[in-house]
Amino acid sequence: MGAMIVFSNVTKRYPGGITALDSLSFDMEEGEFLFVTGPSGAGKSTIIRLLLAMEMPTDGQILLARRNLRSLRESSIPFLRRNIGTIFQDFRLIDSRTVFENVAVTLEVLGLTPREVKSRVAQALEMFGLTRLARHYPPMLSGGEQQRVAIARAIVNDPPLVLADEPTGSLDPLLAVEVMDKLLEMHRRGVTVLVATHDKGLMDRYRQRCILLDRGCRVGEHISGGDA
Amino acid sequence: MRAVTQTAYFMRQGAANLSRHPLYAAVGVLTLTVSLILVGFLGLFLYRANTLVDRLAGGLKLTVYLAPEVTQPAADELSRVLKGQWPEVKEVSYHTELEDRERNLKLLPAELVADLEPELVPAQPFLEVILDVDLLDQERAEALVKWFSALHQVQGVDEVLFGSQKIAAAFSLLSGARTLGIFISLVIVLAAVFFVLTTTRLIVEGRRREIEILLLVGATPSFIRMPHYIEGTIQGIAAGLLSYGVVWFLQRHLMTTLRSEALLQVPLDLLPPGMVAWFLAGGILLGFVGSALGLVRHLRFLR
Repeated sequence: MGAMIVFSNVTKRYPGGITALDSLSFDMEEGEFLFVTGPSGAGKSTIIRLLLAMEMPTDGQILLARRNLRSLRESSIPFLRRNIGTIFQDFRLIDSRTVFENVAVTLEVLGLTPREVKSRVAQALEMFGLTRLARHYPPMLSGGEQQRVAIARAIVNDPPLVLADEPTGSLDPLLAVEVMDKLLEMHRRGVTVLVATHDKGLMDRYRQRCILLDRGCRVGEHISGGDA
Repeated sequence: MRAVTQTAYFMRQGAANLSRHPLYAAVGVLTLTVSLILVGFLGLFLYRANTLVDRLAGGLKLTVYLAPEVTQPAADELSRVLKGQWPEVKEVSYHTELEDRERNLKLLPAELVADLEPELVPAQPFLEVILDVDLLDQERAEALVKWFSALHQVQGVDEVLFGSQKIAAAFSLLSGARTLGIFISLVIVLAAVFFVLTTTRLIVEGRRREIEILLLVGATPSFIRMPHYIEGTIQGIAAGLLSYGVVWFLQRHLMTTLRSEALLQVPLDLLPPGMVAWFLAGGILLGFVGSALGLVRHLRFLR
């Protein structure tokens, strides 16, 4: 197995002099599960945004599956993102589309036929217990259900990497555990999973590698507690 | 195969977007319709202005009454002078005193003519001058009226009657209206484009989140654009038909009113059936360009 993600002295500065990441270095193996944690403003979300090529680093190198993101052409970005499942705290579902359509969009982007889309979406919905909600619209669902839809959308095309930015941030503790279990289930199937979270209590339930950030700098690394 | 699948997807999504966002769809169609009505009405007016002048002024003619002693050769000489001086003079015909009398007798009520000695009916030889309206602009029309007004000072010319003076005035008005119309049309076309662009941008802004999510899952800009183009085109077709219907309805009522008020007896076919194609083309163009330009900004700034 090789490295899935390599951050090498990555700095990200925003106009106005705000430094989100300061010479940050870390790497992550294929199939690994990694927590990135730290207080608000530590730079967790910036890492996710950089990996999705929503922004480019001010300095340093980022390798994603051995591809240097700084040398990535604009037209290649969509193809990069098709290999990354993303999950956000605010779910980022399209309110005007049904649960089925929200999950299907990942496959439609790939140009799959309606029959293939239907079959694979049905499997994903079943996996996350969402089959009965297929025709519902996101605003009709609870927070936990919406996050399950977001996870189903993130993994329906079997991406090798899943990035989750505060995936449990707007869920109650029970639902947060449920969502984390789903992410670990994907990890067990060989998917590389990076979770950015500031929920120490949740991390302590799982025994995984954890990088601690503060004001854009890496200030520690440990294996979180628990018995996952 | 993939291209077929994608095209089918774009068509489905374009149509589905209309039902997913009925308010946006309605606002879009309404905006395009209003723009097309404004531009279409003025465009039609300008397009038809010449026809209108022709019809109103059809047979625009002058009558030059000659002194009784003027002979035909003298009248023919005057005809040549008129034609030579004014290229707008299409035809000059000489009518004798006898012909004038016959014409006048026909114009008088039958009961009056019954016991009347024909010699008592006033008559004199005259030249009938028919003008070519197509060659006449406002400036030339004014000069012509002035020149013919002074013609009675010429020996042998008794009187000049501008039987169509009112029409000439109408021509002058229409000519002015045509110039004003071009200016107003330009302003309205610009206003319509601005109106469509602003509305489209607001609609796209309302879908900003949807576009962001599509970009996140790996949609290419063209994947996002295509359904919007199709949606804009469908809205344009609807707006084209709707605006044609509205203009047709307004024209029908306008003509009914004008006829009932006896203001205008000239058939005024402002909106021939073939014009629906222009409205459709205009709607499609506005819908497509509006949706394309509306998206440009978002796709440029969102990554």
